[in-house]
Amino acid sequence: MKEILRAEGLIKKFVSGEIVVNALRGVDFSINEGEFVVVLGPSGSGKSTMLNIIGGIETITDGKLFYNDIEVHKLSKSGLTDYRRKYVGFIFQFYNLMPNLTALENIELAKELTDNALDPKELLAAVGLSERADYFPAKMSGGQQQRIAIARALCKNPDLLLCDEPTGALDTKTGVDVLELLLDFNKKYNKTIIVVTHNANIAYVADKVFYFRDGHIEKVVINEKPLTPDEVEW
Amino acid sequence: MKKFFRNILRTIAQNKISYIGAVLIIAMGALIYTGMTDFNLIFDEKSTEYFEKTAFADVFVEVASMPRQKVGILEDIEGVDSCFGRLEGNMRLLRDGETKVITIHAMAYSPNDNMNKLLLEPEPDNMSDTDIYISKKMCDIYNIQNGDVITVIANNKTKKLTCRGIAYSSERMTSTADESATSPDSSVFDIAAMSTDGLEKLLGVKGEITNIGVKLADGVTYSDVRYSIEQTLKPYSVISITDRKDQESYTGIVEEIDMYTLIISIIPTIFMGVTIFMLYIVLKKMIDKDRILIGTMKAFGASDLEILTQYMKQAVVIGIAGGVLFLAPAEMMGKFLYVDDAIYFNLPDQTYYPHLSSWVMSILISLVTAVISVYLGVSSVMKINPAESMRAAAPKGGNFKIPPFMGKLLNIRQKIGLTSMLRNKGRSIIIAVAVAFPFSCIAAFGSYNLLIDKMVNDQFGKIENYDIKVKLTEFIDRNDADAILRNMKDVYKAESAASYSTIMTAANHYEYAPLMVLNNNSDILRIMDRYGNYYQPRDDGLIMSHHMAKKLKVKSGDTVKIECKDLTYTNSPVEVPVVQIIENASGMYSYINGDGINRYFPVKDRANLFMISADPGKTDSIKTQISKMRSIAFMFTQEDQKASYAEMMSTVVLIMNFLAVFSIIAGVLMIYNIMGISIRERKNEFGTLMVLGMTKREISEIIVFEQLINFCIGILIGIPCIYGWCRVIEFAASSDSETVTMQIFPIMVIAALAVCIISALVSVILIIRDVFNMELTDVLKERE
Repeated sequence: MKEILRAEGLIKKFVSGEIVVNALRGVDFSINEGEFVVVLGPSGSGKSTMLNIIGGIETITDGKLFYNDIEVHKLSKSGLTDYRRKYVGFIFQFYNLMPNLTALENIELAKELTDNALDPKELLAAVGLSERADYFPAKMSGGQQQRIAIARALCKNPDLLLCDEPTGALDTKTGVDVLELLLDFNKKYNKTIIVVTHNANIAYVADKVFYFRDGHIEKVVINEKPLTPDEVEW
Repeated sequence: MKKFFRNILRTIAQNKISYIGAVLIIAMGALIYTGMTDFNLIFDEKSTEYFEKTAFADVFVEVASMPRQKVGILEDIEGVDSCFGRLEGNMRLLRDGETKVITIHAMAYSPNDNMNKLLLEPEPDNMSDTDIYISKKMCDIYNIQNGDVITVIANNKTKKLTCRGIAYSSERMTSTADESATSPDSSVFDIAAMSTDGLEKLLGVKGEITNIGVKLADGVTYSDVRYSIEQTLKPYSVISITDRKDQESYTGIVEEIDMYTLIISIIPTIFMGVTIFMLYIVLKKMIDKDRILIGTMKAFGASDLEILTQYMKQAVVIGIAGGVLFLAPAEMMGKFLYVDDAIYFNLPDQTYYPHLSSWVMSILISLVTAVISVYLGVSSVMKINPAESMRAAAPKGGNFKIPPFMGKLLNIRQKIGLTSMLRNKGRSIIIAVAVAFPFSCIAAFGSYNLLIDKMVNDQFGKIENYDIKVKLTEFIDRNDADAILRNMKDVYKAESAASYSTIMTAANHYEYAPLMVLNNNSDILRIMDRYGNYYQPRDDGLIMSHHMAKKLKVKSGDTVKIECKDLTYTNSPVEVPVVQIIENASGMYSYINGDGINRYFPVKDRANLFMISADPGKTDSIKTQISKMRSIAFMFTQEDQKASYAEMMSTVVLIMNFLAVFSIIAGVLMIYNIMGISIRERKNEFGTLMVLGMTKREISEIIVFEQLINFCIGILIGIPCIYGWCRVIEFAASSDSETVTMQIFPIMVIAALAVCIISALVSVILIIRDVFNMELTDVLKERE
């Protein structure tokens, strides 16, 4: 399989006055195209920071990050914007939908940003919310909002989908539904997905699992035979 | 709840620009209120004190001449408490090389005067016959110092007098030369005080008085005694009888105070009203950000009152800070306005002091404003239950869909901007109002100043279109007058006319009314209404100013009785019809032509006015010729009149300038604050768009497009607001003798637009910079 993402000695420090927080202390990894990667670790271990760096919304203090042939660590602000626009999709724990756009419009927004977008209405149907097309986010449940956020992220048809605690605010049943959506996208379009989570059970469905601790990857586990969400005991 | 309050304080610290903006907005309102209130209070106090100190009379009578010892006969009239007589007369001041005709109206002074007392500085121990005290303004204009010897002509004799100080008269605080002068001008006319003996010698009279003051008994009104006074003084040729309320100085002061009281009650109220609105918006937006926190506190069991109390502490701080912040500039403004007006009105005491009452009031108003704003802001959040408050509010604008035809014209960024705007109408309207308020204020207040220039130019370009106006000491035959003008050198065009001081009566109403006798087809002195229409004087009756018509309660077709010794030889009134009433801008004139005089009055048409247009560059030559004439009472050049008119309007112009400047500052604050808050509250939204890959340019396009439409709506709302401000200004600045017709000058609209555009542009640039400087990771962690 083709390597899509490679990190070499990633270091991230947050400086606030005299306080320096070493969020990443030299992270190395490699992720292949079409892999479903789960990042596990306790709070403050640096997993979200790593995800943000991969997504180009956080800068690197030191180290290198390659996306295919792109040297992400060398990209300017506008370069990072272009990178996010072309290759990256994001799903957040708290959805971050546009409050003034309806469900369908939120998805259509993503379509306008890329040339090879997927059909918003099909995606809305795929996430099972066709009948909520004209609802504003504030009028939808957390699970529904997250499904709209996923549809929005998928609509861009990104090669790399980054999910920060996508099921963190959801109940088990909805969480499983969301996970199935992600896996479906992963398999159907051969897209790379990285999921940061606290939920260790999600690791069973992943191709690769990174275990984070104190700002570095403590362990990498490769699942030769990942389970389907149905097979996991939640 | 200490921790909760600490959280509020930290929120304030995080949003310090918005809160500083809120404090500044409230401080602006307080500044205008305090400055103008203090100015008006002190002006009222000082003028009242002045009238009391000088024992201002209730009735003022001017007679041709009367023996001093006869004045006491007025005290025989029932209702008259006491009376006082004084000799007054004009003399001409001669200055080397001065071509102006300078008239000093000398008033006899005695330390024993019991009414209409003159105040002299320094107070004299004894006055010699050649000592004179002159008005401060005239001394300043001609640099006359104590001890300087001046030369005057009186009773056809030249005499040397020594200036011993400054004279103040509460009777003549704004002394116009006569009814033909547009406004007071101390360079050609002002008062002076001399000893009675000195003045008698100068004027060549003995034991005579010309002016009488009457104090009425308690409960007696002017109308109760007017007829008796008139009849008693008939043998001495009554020139005028005036009630206190119509006395020139008193009316001037009262009208001034009334005007300022009106301005103070209207304009600061509107400013404070807008302040409450803007502050409410600013604070509500800030409190809305605490929505989840309030919900959480309620979920924890905090009562509404406990939460409200914490926010009210914030209101108290903002209110007091806003009320106190600009007290010093407010006092500077008040002092500036007072000194300007005190100089104009010749008030002897020009010391200024602040009023604790207005400070307290200002702080209280600011406090109440802040409390109301915070209460409105918090109460709307408090109404919802804790669960609701933990969710973002849905847009209230409904599911607006962009029509297909419009959709084709707009790109996605513009669609996002437009949709967001229309689904959040409240937010859009607030920004629009923040634009409309300063736009309308600047256009209206700025236009007022240009309007004054226009009024001056209309008065002295379209109505009085001459270089020099001359008033003669007595009426002369019209043919003789025209002959004098024909014989003058360097005259381009000249006309003679006449002005009479008359008493006009209609039913029970009577007024001292100037009557102008003008020439048909004149282009030197014309009749023009405030709409720019010209009228020819008529021979079949009077054309009357609507100001006078209103006072006399007459309409076109009615008849008025005119009393005037110079027109009737006796005091028997003559009935003249009012043929037309015109809405003029200023003055209370009535007009008739020479044939009209011949038709209605026993006297032949005569002249006491010359209006002269000089050949180019020859004005001084004309002034020199006139200054050598003996029968000249006053001479006014157009420049002098323009300058004195401008001085007369200076305080109101100053107020309007202050308001225009405040509007600019308030506008910049409001636009920046409101736009800033409405954008910053959507940081999460813009952060998400950035994560989705929107470029800075694209996000800027959303913001700019949205703000551009809000701005345009603001300008559209501002247009009727300009109209509203115009009516407010007209209402506040018009008086019995002055009708202000507001006109908006395109240049001020452009200037107002420019200020708003610059404010909005700077605001949007700063806001966009702020948006792009945000930490994406931090913003995205926040829940909507």
